[in-house]
Amino acid sequence: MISLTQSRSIPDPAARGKGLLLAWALLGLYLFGALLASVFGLGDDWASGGDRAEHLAPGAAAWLGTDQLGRDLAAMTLQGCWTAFMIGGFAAGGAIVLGAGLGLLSGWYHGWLDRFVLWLSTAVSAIPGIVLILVIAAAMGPGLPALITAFIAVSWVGVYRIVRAETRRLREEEYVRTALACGARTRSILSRHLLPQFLPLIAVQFGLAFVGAIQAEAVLSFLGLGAPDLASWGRMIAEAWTWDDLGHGRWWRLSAASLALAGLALSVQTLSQSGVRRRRTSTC
Amino acid sequence: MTAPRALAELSRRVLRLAMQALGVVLLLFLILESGVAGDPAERALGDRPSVRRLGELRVELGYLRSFQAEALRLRLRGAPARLSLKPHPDGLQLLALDGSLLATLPVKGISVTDFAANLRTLALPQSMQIDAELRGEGTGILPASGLRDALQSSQLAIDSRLPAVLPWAEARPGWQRFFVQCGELLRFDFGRSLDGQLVGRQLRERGLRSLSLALPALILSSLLALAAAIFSARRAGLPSDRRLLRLGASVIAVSGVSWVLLLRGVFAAQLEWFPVVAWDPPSLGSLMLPILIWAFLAAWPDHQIYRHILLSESQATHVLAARARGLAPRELWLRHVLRSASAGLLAHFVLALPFLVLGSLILEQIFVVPGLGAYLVDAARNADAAVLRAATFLLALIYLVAQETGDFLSSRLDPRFREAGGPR
Amino acid sequence: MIALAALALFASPLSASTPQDQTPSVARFALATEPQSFDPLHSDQTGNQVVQRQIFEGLVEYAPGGADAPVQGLLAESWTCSADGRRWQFLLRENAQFFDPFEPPLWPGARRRVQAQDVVQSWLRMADVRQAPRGYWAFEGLIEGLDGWRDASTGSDAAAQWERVSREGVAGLRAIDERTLEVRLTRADPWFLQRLASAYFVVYPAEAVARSGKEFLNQPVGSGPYFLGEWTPGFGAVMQTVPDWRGQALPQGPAASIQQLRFRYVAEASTRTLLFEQGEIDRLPPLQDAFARLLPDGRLAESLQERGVRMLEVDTPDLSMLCFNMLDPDVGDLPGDPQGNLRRRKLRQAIAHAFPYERWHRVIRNQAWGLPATGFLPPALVDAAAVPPCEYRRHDLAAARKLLAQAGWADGRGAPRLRIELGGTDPVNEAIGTMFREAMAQIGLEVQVVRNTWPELSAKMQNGEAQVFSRAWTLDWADPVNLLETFHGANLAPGINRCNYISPAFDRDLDALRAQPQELRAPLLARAVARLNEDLPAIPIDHRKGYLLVQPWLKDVQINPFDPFPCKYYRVEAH
Repeated sequence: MISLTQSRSIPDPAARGKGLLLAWALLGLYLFGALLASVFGLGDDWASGGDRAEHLAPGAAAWLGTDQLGRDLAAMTLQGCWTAFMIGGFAAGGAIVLGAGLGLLSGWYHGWLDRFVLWLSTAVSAIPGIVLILVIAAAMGPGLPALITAFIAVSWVGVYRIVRAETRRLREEEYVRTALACGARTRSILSRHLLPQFLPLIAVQFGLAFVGAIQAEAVLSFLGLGAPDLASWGRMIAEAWTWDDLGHGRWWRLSAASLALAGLALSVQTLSQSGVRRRRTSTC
Repeated sequence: MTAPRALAELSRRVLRLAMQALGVVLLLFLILESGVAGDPAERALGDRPSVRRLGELRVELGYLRSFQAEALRLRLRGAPARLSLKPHPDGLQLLALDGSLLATLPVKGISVTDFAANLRTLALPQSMQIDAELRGEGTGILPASGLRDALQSSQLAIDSRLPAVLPWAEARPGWQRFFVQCGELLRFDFGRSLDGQLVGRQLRERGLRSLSLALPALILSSLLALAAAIFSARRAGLPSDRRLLRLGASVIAVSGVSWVLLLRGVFAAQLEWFPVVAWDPPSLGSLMLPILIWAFLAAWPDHQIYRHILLSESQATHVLAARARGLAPRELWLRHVLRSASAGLLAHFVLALPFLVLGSLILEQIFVVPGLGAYLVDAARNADAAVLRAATFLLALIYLVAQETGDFLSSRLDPRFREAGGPR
Repeated sequence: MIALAALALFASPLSASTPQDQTPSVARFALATEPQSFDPLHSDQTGNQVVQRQIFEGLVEYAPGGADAPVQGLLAESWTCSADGRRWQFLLRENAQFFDPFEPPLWPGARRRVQAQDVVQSWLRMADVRQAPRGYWAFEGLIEGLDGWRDASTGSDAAAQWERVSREGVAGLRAIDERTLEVRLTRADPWFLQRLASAYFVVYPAEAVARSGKEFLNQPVGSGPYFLGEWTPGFGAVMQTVPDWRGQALPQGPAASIQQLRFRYVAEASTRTLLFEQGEIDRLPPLQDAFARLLPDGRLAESLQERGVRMLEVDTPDLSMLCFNMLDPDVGDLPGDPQGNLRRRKLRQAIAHAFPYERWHRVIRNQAWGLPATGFLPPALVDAAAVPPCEYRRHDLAAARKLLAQAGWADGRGAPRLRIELGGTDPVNEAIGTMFREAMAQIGLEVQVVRNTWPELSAKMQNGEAQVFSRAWTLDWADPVNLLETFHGANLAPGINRCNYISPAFDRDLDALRAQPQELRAPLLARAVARLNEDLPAIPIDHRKGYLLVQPWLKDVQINPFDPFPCKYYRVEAH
């Protein structure tokens, strides 16, 4: 990467005070929704239309209307909460674990491991993310495992590079060298001294990856490669297209799914950005 | 730089490029071929595919060196009955209707003629008899794995009403497949897709079409983003800057798919200011709406990045000195900040170029543009390995070359980026 | 500065091209299926068939008209048929010529007269297994010696055999001289001419195949009034009239008066509807989404009527059915297992009783363009009245549960898991899968929904791997035997008998039917269909109605279900 000069006092776009509170509240709302959907099973019969009429507008029978098979859109939206957290959580978590793990090892132990993983990361990053996701989805068949695997495969590189750079930098720090000289074990150094330094960094990356994953799910569902048996907001958006909701003046499905997705993305984004007080760009 | 040094650096870069390209090929091979994600042939054909189709597809994909769909034609005589054939390490197993094992015939090291004779003379209950007729050129000693390779993950049954054919295959070892693929890709021999068209030609034609959508969009979005970034950077920290950033974050948070659906619904379907499908006829006019939408969506993330670059540069020493000297803000920005930021801005712009060939998958689907994005999506849906491999390789190669070139150029242009050890 | 640039971009003429912009002799169509190949070997796919119809010609074609349009000579000027209906002689017209628009041209002047030998070679190529043809079922068991050539083409000396047959023909297919073709059939076929009018029997020059090789699918050379101008595979084609084409007189004027045909593949039905509403395409078979808006209550909406849009409606001789693979061990008929077969038959009958016919009619057909079936034969066919209805084709959950219990799977306990194969990832297929799964759940049957692309499903059906799948069969000619052929044992996969139904008694009845004159068919037909009703290799769902919306400036359009896109009969008025 091209190096940039270190920034010292760039006005921070991160939210403060009221904005932060709002973001937390919003996230809390989504978490509550996911809880209702998963633990309490609210709306988990979304898949059956029952006797409801098709394409109902929001009203008494169905709060958010029904879809082309008479299925309740409100139930689908709620279940979508849970799906979003599942997809975002696993995908981002996997990317973090893989990327940070490899980054730590790579940055700490110079040598063939470092060169090999670096080479692998360059190969992965050379392929446009969406293309790699398509390839993996084609190879594994459309569905949730393919989605999550594909996203992890694409996102680990960013985390890896940052963690590796930080590790290399910190390795040269005074206190680390002292600890080594005193005979401390690598593992304890890594976990006790380095890891806490990374947490803010990792939090930012987790947020980015989370948002990226749920957005990628929307794109894949639209392209017909999503998970067919899950209720997700991406699937709702895709169905709004294929059943031409807008052309028939049916605004509710697209709006509900888009706003739900945007709300979650915005709150996670805001929170993860505010996790870092000062921006530090690093040289690689 | 002196000539030998330049040559040395060039060859170093080319070597690095080659290694990275090889890495991409290896990665593609592992994903598409090695069964890490399941058997691609099965993947393409779905559950319970036929023996013949599986075999033919495996030959196309390079798994099998040869596949003979009809080594033996079998017919079951006797009571109305049905037998299943299953390959087993010991040979060929014959199972009855209820799944019980009737016989196992060894296969290893026997010639096809002898195997046919074995089938004919097999004693089966209920006066069943198998007629085995030699087909094609099944001669010679059977490779031990031949039947297993041919029947892998498929079922074969014979019943007294229908004839069945017993196939034979010769597998190609994995490492050999990899080298064949390497050679083909590096020679740019991309083969034909599942619908019979030449992949190389399709990539070229469709890439150009995607480019005609993507390039104007990139230019437009960069201009918009730059203008907004200058505006933001000059008012950094002020409420207008914050509002713009918040707006940007909100726009980015909404899914691109939703934006495209909404904007198309309003501007093309409702108001009819733009055509509903692009590329008919192929002209900038028909592409206007997709270009505008792309520019709008791409401008916001670019705005944030450009703002950051400009702000970093505006904190640089020479800029602060100029400001201390009392230089007017406009001149300050134009002469000092933009100039020193230009390397970073340009780098960001150039890095986006290789992705242009890809076009936008969403826009191409919705506006029916026959570009590279649409090609890839179709290939992914059909599990068309040849297309996916070729397209991915090509895109990665373009990106790597662009990256190396960009690196090379910036090391020439900006003294700050010269590699250590080079003369100034 | 930025503002100016933005203004400039906006200022360019942007209005969607209104009908006034169209030059008078261009017709524009949006296809629902991809055109992928101009090779007649692939003419089984609708997208390919449509574009190929403009370029290639066969011996005969349907005259302009609706479903009852007669067959008239095209490349054949006249023909004779022997008394037993088995020997046909065709006299080709003198002025039919192939036109080669590609460089370098095959012949001086880029034209050559069509000869009888071309017919022989085209049909032989359709039988050549090495070419992987997809339409051979139309020829199977019909022409003497052709099946023999087909078998020979699988052998190791296929190349030598091809040399021979392309020179001399086979026993039942020979060129007597340049203009005379002799065809000998294995049995009399009262629908032979209609068969010849279908897309599989078109004629093209062997030199074009030799020149292009694998690229022949992109470089078609035919004798029709249009040639391929621009071609974007999988996307669209533009065709122009052949200069100095021999001409064809029609009651309304000369044929092929439209100078340019523009075909474009638009996957989304909603986009096609929008294009029609905006006047960008000239005709539209409306589908689910369009119905509510364009055809409320099945009649043309006011706004369309005002503009002069016409609506054409026809009862297509077609059957949509849910097919079972009779070779499947879970739902089919296995030799040597009479007990199991009985149980599985009751399972199929139970499924028929539990199928969601109402919902299908509502969701898939918008309650308008489907006629619920009472049996296997479409009522449009003249013989349909004499045939018994299918008693299992009736929604009756109680009866379904009873049958299931009789089969030994009360409430679905222990019943095999069903697998429905969808032929596309589009919303209609998704809806079918979901509706079927929910309906079966009501009687306790578990269903796995498998998604495929259409080519994948096609291949699975051909290879006998799909278990349950929905399928629509449009008769290629108005003979009920054409529908029953899809259940004949000789047509097993890879033939058109996708259900893999094997019943020797049914086959006997059908064989006898084929040669019967109209008056004596009724009892045989009734018996054959009664067998289908009982064995239920497929559940008859409904018959599609053909609707077509046509712009006021596209004239002389009629719906012929057997000839969907005869653009040479259309006229475009200035508008």
